[in-house]
Amino acid sequence: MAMRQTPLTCSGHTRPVVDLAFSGITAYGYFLISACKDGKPMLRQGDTGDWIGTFLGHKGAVWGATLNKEATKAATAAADFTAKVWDAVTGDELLTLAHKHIVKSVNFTQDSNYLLTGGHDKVLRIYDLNKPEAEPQEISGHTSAIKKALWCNNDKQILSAADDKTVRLWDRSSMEVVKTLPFDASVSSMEYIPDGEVLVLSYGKTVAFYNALSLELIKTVDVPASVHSASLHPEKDFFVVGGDDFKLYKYDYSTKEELESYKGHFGPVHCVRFSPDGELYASGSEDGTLRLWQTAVGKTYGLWKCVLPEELVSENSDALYSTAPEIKA
Amino acid sequence: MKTPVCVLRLPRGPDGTSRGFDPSSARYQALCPSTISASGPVDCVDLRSEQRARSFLRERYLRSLIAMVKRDVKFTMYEKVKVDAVFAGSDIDILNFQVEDLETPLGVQKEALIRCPDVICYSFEIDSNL
Repeated sequence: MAMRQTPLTCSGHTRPVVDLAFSGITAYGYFLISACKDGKPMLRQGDTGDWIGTFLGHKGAVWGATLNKEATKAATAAADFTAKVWDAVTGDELLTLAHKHIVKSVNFTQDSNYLLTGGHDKVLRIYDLNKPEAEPQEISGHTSAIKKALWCNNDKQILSAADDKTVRLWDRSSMEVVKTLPFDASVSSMEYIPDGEVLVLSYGKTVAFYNALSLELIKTVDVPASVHSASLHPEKDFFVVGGDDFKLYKYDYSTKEELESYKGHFGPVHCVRFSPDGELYASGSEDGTLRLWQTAVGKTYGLWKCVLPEELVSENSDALYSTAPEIKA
Repeated sequence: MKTPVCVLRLPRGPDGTSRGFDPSSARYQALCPSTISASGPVDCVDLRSEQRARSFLRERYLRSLIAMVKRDVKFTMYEKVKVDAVFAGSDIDILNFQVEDLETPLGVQKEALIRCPDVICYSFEIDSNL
């Protein structure tokens, strides 16, 4: 029996949510960090959306946020011209990295030893987190504000997208550009999938998939509205898209067929990301909320419970909406 | 008409009073440096040997719990309570002990949970043949 998707709304932010990122899968599950214009990025449990804590310290809108794989460290990029590194377990601020303009993007290497930043001063910076007082390595080249910068190819290369309508691939050791992809419009989002080396880009009303090593185009898909963000499922079965029309769209990656679409947000969707296990995807919107959506609608996972038709009409339906009995040892 | 998927509850939001990062959460307890500070002046070598000693003691304690399973244990608790029971197991944080045949003034409780913070001390005999 087909079921209707019930998104889980995570409240708490008071301004638009502009970026979100998941950690890897840890012994304590996986985690989600959200960047918000209210300057207070939040950490949540990834599979339930439960709030864990708020990173307090930024003095301006937070434009980018990320977690390291183990979810022990967080990094944020803000309009106060700083990027900050945080202890994601205690919520304490570990480092403040001063920049010369608004910082938009932050990304950890796999070993969490280096942080890549990019922003309005058009320069990519690599900070050694074990030597934070040392000057960062700088890579120049972009002619406009950098929107997103990501490590790729086992942290040997860097991918960056900027308002100069280019996506560039850089070599980390030589600090030189390897390849430049020009576009007709500004790239609105970029996602890198290490397993399979896929680069997901969005611009205008198009989602494009590239080979992340060669930057060769794999395929493009046109969608009904201006795309702000797109994310590919870890198993590459589906991809999800969010944009200007407030809706979330789910597509089949192989056939490019639109499978599902959901209304729910009260404002444009700025960011979407699949969870590391692919069981759900999170969306952040201008309306200040994050919503969690099931990939397989109706499956029991996190806070969603699969209820058989007989249970729905039975007299004992009090199990449906009440909290699951918590077994305290 | 499609039925909406049921949810157990809504995601919990900020509590409004603190910035979160609950120090009593399992992850915090496991990943944060111990709140028990080093016993002497902190220096690398001392810390390492102290940590080695801590590990040794903890492992010995955990093995003592394993040795205690199915044995008679005498618990001395607050409010002048002294009870006997057969130890069955402990939870991962050593906050609760599961016991069987707990001898109470109200009779023998077949299965019970004893809160460790309520226990002052406990003792049991180990087989000298082990």
